[in-house]
Amino acid sequence: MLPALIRAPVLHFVLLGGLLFLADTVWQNRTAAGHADAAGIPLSISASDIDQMRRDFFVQNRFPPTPEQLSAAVETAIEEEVLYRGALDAGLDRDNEAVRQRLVQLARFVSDDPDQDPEALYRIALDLGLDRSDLVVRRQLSMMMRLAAANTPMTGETPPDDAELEAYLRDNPEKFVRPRRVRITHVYFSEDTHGAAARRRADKVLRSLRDGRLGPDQAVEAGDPFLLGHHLPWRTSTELEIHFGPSFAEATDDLKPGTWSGPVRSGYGWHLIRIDDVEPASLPPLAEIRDRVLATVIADRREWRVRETVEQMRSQYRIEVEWPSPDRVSATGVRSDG
Amino acid sequence: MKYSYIAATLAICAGAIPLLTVSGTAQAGSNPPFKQTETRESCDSYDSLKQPFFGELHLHTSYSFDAYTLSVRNDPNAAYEFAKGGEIKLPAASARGGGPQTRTAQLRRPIDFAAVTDHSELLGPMEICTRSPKGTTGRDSLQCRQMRTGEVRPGNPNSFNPTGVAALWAANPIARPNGAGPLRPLCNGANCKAADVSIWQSIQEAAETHYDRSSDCKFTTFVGYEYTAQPLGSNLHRNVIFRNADVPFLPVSNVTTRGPYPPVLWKKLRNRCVDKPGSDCDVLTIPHNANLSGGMMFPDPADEEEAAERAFFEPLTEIYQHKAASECRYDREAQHGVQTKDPLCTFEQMINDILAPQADPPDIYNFPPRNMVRNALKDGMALAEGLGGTNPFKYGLIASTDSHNGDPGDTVEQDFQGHAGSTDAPVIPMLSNVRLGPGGLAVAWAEENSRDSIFEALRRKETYGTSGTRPVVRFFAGWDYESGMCGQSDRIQLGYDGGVPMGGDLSVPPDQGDKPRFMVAALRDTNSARLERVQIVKGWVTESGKTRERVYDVAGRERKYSRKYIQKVCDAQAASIGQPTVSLPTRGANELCTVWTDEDFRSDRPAFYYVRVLETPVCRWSTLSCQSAGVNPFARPKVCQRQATRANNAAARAGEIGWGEVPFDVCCLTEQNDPFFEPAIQERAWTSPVWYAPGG
Repeated sequence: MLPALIRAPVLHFVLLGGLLFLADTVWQNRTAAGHADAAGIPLSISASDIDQMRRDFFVQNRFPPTPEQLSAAVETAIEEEVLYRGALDAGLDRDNEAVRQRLVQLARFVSDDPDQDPEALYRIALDLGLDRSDLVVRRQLSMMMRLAAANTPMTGETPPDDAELEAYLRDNPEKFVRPRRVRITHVYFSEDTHGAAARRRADKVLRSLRDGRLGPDQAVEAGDPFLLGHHLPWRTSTELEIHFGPSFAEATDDLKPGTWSGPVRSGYGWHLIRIDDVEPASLPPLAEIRDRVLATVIADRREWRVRETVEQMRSQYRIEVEWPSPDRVSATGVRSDG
Repeated sequence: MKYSYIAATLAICAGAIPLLTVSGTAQAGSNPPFKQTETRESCDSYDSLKQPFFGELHLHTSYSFDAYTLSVRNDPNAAYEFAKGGEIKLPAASARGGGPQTRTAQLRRPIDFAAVTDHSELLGPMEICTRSPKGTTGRDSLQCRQMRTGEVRPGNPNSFNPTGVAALWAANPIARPNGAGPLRPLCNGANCKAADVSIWQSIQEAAETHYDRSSDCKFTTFVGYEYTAQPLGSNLHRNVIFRNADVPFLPVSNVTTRGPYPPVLWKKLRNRCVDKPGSDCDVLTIPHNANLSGGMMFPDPADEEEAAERAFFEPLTEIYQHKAASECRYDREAQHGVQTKDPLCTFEQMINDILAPQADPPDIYNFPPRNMVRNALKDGMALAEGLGGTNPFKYGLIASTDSHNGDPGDTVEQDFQGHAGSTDAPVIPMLSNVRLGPGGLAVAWAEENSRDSIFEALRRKETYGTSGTRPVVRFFAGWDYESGMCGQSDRIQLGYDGGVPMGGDLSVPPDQGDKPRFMVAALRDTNSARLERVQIVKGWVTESGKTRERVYDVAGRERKYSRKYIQKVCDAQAASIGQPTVSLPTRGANELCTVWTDEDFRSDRPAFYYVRVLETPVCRWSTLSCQSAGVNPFARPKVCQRQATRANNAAARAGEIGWGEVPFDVCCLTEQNDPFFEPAIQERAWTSPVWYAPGG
């Protein structure tokens, strides 16, 4: 149940190291205006930031990011920063107990007199710009701003009515469609048993099936026994893929019912397939799935509000992205190509 | 903030349970062989010879105190969505207090059924701390702030220690050795009970929402929870799985049983569920991680009644999950096993014999024999003679994950990204848990994908467990199966007609001197390696009451694999990460089938037989992780250690670890320097046994 204790000292180390470094930079950038001046600072992502993103991605996913994935990571970083700055502008950092507690704690770290009154420590933290440098505070604030944006209706927005739900269902059928289902009879030719001859045998039995010399049951007997049976119950393409593999599932997508086709390759060997019954894909009427459509529309709207809000806020900042030069190689040995 | 109507709408949606008005329509005009205890449509996809449904019966979400404090925020709804193919988010290694959630996970192949089984003991406090509105009594308590921040001293970032918080939370209600002491960390009386009820209802609502009651039968859920008893760190956990929506008002937890007493659990479940008048309530309790139970999971029953209650409530046990295998144990360095000489019992072992950290874990000579299911199966037959014939340990087999990420069925080796939130994220945190794995799947042979059909399959033990892949395995035992049965297209019908399937009881021999015949067939997972061989594991009791075992290779054969071959497999797996399929080398078989006779059979001695199916080896997740960091477990030991040192230093330079820490050193664990560990893994399946008892 409980995995090994996390190496807390490491975190302290990282935190402290980060603090000293940031305190230094913040000191140099400090302005007299306090902390509501974020708009004046250009929003820049440096080449080394991007290299770090690439490394993080590799470590998380065990494969290097494609240029698109790396761009997406950069976009996310910009979005987070914009949201964070928006939170400062909206004053979400003020009267925020979580942020305040965190800053008081941080000030104890760096202050000469850690025992002084929390209010004074809070002031010290603000003077040092810790509200801007601490990653936890930044993350907390951008998260709050994101929630606020998601939950605040845009000007003129009205609650979704049935007409909107109908339209949504019509425009996004793929999200609600009941997929095509088939019932299949198949004859199996094992590669384990026949090797390369499996396919020739399949061809031969197919000819006999087509010219009527063999009925379906005789054909099944002429092939090899298959552990999941020869008459499969209703299956969608996705379900067929689980055992038979993608090529088999895809092959059934285009088959017409009632006729024998093949041979089709699966992960096991070759198959002759007859579709006995098809239930085409269908879109249920709104009345049947109203709750699902409504939930999806609301979720979409929340995302849209965040996008719109970020878009508006972005226009206030000068955004500078410094892409690393193509021949740089990162620490993981992955050649960068962004 | 002006969330107005949106928030209101969401609240309404969340509270609505679909009305169930559709009445059952009989399948193909006949009564199904299982009892129908709920109102639902019968399934279009129905097979009287049964279909294999792949699922998960052990999964934690953000409702579990330990998952939440590790920054997991996937609730039961998210978990069921995931099981059906949806995407979830997972916390970064750096996450604290729930963010950032930078990782995603998704199943390429959805699963057929799942039960969310959150820890029942702290559900109420979790409701208060993580789901109640501001101002709720207890919400601002120390414990709640610990839970939400992961900080032992909330507000003090230095005290960030999520597993420490989880341990503090567990101290009283879960870990205490007996009935003494306070039970609750933060709530009491009516407040606590209301919270318990509220979150338990949310668990039921999620199961209801995601259960497909239409004739499509795409996905089945079970209402469940985990009974979390671990006296002094000995794991006695059980997953409690209910048959249908008729469930007790509250879970029977380790608090309800006033300590770690499974017989009390069964007694209360009998009163509140099975024997409840006018109710269709039915329930199973499934023990897991006998391997960490300090020998306590399968104790000698006090009396016949206790033996019978155990046999009734516990038809199944997990034989494999993310905290390793419980089948059997063999130490290759000592060349000694725990009542076994089976060399394949090195497979996926923990070092400890209990759940809690151990300074001095027992060696192979002192390891508790009944930590291993195979030994319990043998002992159960021996004990039955003194218990009026009741075998107390007549366990069928399944596997599951025990993941705490809200990701049921997430068992693909190369896609594994840990199971415990931020503390088990790629790469370094995961390597600190190098003996853990992605866990396995529970497979039920059932007519259709509905609760009643699958639950009865679990009850009659027509189940098997896999180490995470999806082979199809059939196993029948009878007296006169013909040798050519494997070649017959109606072999499954013949199997049922002439004998019993996995989980069944073999009848007495029709004639003196008859030997039992077994038909076993296995079809490989097309998205994993091919099959190497099929084994039958037999256990029996001698005249003098001693237990014995023997492992027979019955189909396929043992093979040797060069390092070069394994490396080729690893490369194919690495290339497949993020791809729909993996193309592995074609060594091994697509299908293995045989009819085997036990020539050593003695009709006067009790015996069991279960099947173990072995795939050809693939790369273990840890090997793939190590190789992505430039450390190759297959390199010569000195070279590997040099690479590991380089990776350690690089991580220290990047500030990911402190200087002097050596997380990558585990990359150089191999067969040559560890009693159990292997950088390659032979995925496998274990079927429920078939039992034989003299006189029936």
